[in-house]
Amino acid sequence: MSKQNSSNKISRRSFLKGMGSGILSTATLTTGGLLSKEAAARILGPEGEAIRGRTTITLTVNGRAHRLAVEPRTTLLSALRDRLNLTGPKEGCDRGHCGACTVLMDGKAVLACMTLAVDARGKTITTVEGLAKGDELSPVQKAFVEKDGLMCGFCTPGLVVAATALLQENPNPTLDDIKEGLAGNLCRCGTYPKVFEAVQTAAKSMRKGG
Amino acid sequence: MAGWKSLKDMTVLSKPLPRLDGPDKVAGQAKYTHDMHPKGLLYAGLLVSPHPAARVVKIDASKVRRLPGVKAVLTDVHPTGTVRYAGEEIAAVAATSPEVLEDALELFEVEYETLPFVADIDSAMQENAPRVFANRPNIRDPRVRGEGDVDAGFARADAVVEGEYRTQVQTHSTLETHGSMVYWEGDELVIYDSTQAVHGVREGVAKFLDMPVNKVRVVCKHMGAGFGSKLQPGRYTAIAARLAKETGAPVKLMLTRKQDFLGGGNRPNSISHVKLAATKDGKLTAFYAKTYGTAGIGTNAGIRLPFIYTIPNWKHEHYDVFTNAGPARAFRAPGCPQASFVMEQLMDELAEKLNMDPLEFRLKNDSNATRQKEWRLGAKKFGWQRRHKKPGADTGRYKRGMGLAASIWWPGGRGTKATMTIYPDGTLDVKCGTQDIGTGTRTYMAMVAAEELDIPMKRIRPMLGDSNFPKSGASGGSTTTPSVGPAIKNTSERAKTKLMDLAAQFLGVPATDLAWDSGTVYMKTNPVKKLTWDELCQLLGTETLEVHGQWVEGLSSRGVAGCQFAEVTVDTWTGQIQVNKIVAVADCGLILNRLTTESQVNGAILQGISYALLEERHMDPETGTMVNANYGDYKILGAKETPAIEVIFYDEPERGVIGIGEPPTIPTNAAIANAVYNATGVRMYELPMTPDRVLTALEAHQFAGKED
Amino acid sequence: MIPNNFEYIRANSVQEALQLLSQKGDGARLLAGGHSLIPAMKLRLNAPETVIDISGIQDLASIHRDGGRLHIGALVTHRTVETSDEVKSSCPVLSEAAALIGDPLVRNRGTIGGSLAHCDPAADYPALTLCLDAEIEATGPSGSRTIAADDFFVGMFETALQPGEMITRVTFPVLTRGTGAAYEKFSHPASRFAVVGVAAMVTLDGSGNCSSVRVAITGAGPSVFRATKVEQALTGKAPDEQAISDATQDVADPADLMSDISASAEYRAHLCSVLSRRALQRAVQAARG
Repeated sequence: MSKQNSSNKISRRSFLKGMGSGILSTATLTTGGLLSKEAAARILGPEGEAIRGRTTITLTVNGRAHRLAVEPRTTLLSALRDRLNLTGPKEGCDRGHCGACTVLMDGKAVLACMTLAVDARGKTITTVEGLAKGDELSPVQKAFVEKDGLMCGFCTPGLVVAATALLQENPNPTLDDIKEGLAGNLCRCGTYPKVFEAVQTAAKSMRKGG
Repeated sequence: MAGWKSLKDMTVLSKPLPRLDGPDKVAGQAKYTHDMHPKGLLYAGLLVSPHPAARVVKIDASKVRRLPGVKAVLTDVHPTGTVRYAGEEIAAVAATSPEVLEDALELFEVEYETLPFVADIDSAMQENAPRVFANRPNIRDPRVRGEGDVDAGFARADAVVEGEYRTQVQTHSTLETHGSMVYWEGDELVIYDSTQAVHGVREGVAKFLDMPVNKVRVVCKHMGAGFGSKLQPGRYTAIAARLAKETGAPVKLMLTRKQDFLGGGNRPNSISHVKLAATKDGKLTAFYAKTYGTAGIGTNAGIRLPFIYTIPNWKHEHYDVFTNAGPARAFRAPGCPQASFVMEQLMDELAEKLNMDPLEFRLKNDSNATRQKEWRLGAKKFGWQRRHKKPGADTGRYKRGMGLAASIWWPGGRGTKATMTIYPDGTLDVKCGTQDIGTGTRTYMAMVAAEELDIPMKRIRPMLGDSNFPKSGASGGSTTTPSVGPAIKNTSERAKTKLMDLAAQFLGVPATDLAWDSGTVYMKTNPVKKLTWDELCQLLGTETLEVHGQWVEGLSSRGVAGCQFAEVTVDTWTGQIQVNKIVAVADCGLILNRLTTESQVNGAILQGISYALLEERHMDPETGTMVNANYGDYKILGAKETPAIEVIFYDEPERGVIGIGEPPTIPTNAAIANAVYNATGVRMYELPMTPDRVLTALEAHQFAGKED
Repeated sequence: MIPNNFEYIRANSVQEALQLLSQKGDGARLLAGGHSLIPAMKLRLNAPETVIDISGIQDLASIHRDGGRLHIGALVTHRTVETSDEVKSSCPVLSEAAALIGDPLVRNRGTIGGSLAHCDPAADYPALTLCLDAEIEATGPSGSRTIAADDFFVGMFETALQPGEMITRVTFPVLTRGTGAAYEKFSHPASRFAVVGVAAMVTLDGSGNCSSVRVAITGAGPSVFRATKVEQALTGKAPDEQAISDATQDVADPADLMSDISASAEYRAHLCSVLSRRALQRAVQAARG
């Protein structure tokens, strides 16, 4: 992430300058360092101050800033599903065992059910809904469809997000790398063989596409 | 009615096509019951009994009712007030947020009078064990089946093997738990349910609530899998409906993961005392089995012995045993994986005694003509001849072995209705009150219509998962495809006939003079006179054409065979079994979609491996509750445990459509167990074959060896 | 599963976190990666009144080498330890072991400090920390102190940390030629916690004999422990196959080990032997370079 941030610094700064309040881009909240303390406080809520009970926070999800009311104990998963109606991330176990709730937080695949919503303030969240560009599915999504890397589809959003993160870190994974990379995502229908094919196919098409 | 086209003439059917709902599912846009979030939604939850056996003396919900955000409370949800397993519903709440719901559930004060219980089958079978049902013994009267003269059969045998085999309780563990989202529109109830049977749930809930069936609508567009656990209406649905009625708001009630483990269904265990005999030329003569199984507080814990083999004399006595545990439900090929574990290992033992190759021995005793071919085909592809002749032949820490086992399945197609609506612009809807439980039903509905009408798939909108659509059965028993496939074909044919009539009228010729090809109607004697699909549909003017069809005989078959081969490596230091490869031969009749069919076979095999090596419900004898009711303690197979799988389809298109979801999960565990024996010379009599069980068996074997 | 209500505060520095800890007293818990604390809170086994989120304290998220010592900040994630070039070259066994923790989703969030402070009897880091003779830096209101790994692990979920203290960093030795270490783990199939995990470190003298041996075992007992019998049996000896095999026959007594649904005490004892043997063999190999 740090690499990405530093290379994007200038464009983000200039973007920030020209921006009115209201809609915030994905870029604005990725690093606290880019924002003045006051700006950060305005967007994130005061740092170091206690949050008790119901509080309105801002989360940056799929490139948009959302204001929503949560409690400190509200998980990121519940915030996404129950408040923002982003139901792509699924609740399979609610205990960090199944990976159905996997989302990207600052580019890393994490369990949304094990993350507090208040802890996700100031971070960039991408859910499975944010991977496609409009109607154009991402290479990973396309490959899952083409290779039939899904059956009932309930675990699929988690697997797609985990596979996306895996390929970002390792564009040319071996079969063992793929198995390890997806080890946190359970699929009861048993789609794994086709998922492995899909990830390999996506890797190939992403390498071709640069 | 015509039969299916020949394979070579098909342009859509039997091809490997990606599923139509794939894009929605990979983009997170497919809405499951759990995702339903209408305005004003209330979150409902169940308070369940922590005790395996108790009388509910008093439920004090006054604190619950006082909690801000609580909108409705029910304390009369249990039908009798006597609970018989930990996890039974005691009370329910609807609240404005998940947080309030959770707090509310903590505020119930329930007084229980606890009762003695039996947590597992062994304690339930002891003399003077506490009874699960006061007026009935725990061990039910046996079901006895058989034929021939068993004593005579054993008397004329040259070799006999016998033993005790045990299999575990396995839970369905679907990723989406059971649950419903419901709301009322006046006196009509709308239910979104994670179900395998929209019509069945409609009828069941109507009965629960004493309502007319036509005032209940059940919808299930996408569901997070069932495997048999979601064939029946749930009490939670009726509870949600009552809460919705009381509050006038939509209510969602999903079981928690733990509640799903406790009460969402399971595959019964089995204890089998068995004996099998053959003559020295390898013909089976007799089989005897006395078996026990627990379906918790439910029944039907049977095991389908003597499995696939032809035995002239056999007898099987089965006893269901009640325990204070959640009731079993149908689970992918009920009674069959248990049977393959027992019978296929007995067959191997007997083959060894007769000094015969296990494959050769099976060929002598398997009367199924399809499977005779499949055994040979699979053996060749797998490389069966590479198998160690002597078990445990590898030296060193890691030992490799090979095994095989058979599968079987019975049901075929049955009554299903469908409707097709054709629009003047050439598009059409195909509606059927079936459901797509992840098997690709929606996709092949469109494929069948596209094939029959010779029109592009994208013109067709397949619609299912709604009890307002024509009736179809539950998605269970591998009956869906052989039921729905023919029904859609029949409906398409009728649509074709109606369109031909329209064309005949328009062209002023008898319909018998017309033919249909590539979506075009033309005159046989003068093919230049024709109407394309679009022109045909335009004849409808401003009307739509509504056509009804149904399942008919002759397009599907009953009966499935199949076999599997497994190669494993056993780590003799730790007892860990690694499955290296599974080769599966699956007979599929006419395959409608090769891609999704292959996925189903893969999935069945992986569930079979999971059953063989990993899964087991553990009941705590002290508390009578399940101790591993979460995915962190109850392991279901993951990416790392997935071996190489080769699926070989044995096409028999002349048989029409047959089901495939269940049979391939049957043989996997037994093929692995036989491979473990071949690797180590040690037989595993109990599932799952966990590392410590394997190691214990290896050590016992080694010790026995030293004494020799 | 939702925790009891609590008050949430983000701390931006160690100083701030310590102040909050002392202000809030017993009812406060530190939140790092959250993968131990949040599940416990969801099950309402742990119901803190205040959660102090320290995950944003950048000072605690770095790795650096200082001569023969490798300092890992308390908030360094498992994933970072797994992939860090500095760790891979200075103390490769740590990267190896980190790669075996949970799954990638867990490793992306879980931290070394969180794991050690939680002190789960089946966690991996305690074995590594104890085996490698690491030092844990605990910082409290009156400053920092260093706790030797041998003194840190007190019991099940119990450490030598005092109320008001937090782990700020962990210091490992840089493994140089002549010293090798290895970690062998038998994972629980579902949780990926260690059913048994054995870490071994061997230092060879000029003549190829063991001048020092440390073996630490996690998962098997109520808390991580050193296999002192094995260490003694090999110290001063040439670590050939036979010697290692002899020394690892009876590593642990089943009577001292845990028995649960995933493994009996007897099976755990067996794994202690098997894994110790493998770990020592590989540690010796690494020491020989």
